[in-house]
Amino acid sequence: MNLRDLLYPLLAALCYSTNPILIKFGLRVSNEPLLGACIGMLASTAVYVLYFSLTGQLRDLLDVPRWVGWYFALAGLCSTFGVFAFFAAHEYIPASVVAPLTAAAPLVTLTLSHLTLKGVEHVTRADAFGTVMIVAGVVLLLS
Amino acid sequence: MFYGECLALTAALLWGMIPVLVRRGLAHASPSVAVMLGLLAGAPLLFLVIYFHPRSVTEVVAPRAAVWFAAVGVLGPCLGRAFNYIGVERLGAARATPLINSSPLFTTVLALVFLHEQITLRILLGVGCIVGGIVVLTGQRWK
Repeated sequence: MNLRDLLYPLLAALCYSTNPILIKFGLRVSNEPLLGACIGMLASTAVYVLYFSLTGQLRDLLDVPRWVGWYFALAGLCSTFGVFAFFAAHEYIPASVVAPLTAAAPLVTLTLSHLTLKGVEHVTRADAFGTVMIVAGVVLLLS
Repeated sequence: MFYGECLALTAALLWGMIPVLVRRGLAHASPSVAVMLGLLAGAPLLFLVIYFHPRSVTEVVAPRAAVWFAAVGVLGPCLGRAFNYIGVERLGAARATPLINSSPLFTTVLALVFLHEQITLRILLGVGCIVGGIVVLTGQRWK
């Protein structure tokens, strides 16, 4: 692993970090969180289809084994349904409770990685400890 | 009862599953293909939500708000997800995910700098935990 490998997840974190602030700007104008989320995700789909086409990657879709395609599609559906569950949760409990609960996602990943990716990844105690620390920190920031 | 808590935990479970599903497939396809297929899989659901929503999107979402929501989508599900999946490919699901989910750290820094929010002890502790967790996760790789 080199330093550039670390850059990608941190860049992802930086991108995601702008979401709460930009969402606030949008909701100040039109207070429709679910529709806003749908517009955002459809915009991302449109932009990515354009990028995918312009970079000549459409052919790569044909080379993907079917079972791999289903895994990726299922991941996409988990993301979409997760957003719906996230917004639905806000109907019942305040954001200050929703956010820390959803911050548990890395613990789910850690557990599932250990149980189902045994031949692919080796999860260490340091991984578990680091994950717990980050989740604890996120809970502190979000609650 | 605990509908809100269950929904929030459901979101955490669904989001936690995504890196594990993607990791399985990345041995056979690129992260870019994974993002594309995930976005395409979710798109029909989004159209259904917009179609069946009790309020018409063109009536309740102002163009200016739509721009903000679209910006969220481009930065998050588009760019953020691409970096996310590359990170999962390079570091593995268990190590990349907590790093990706440290985004509240960046949100806090952005809020402190641009929104002039106050630094509290809870924020300092949260930031400290996240940074500590990142160090633990990444530090073992340099041994």
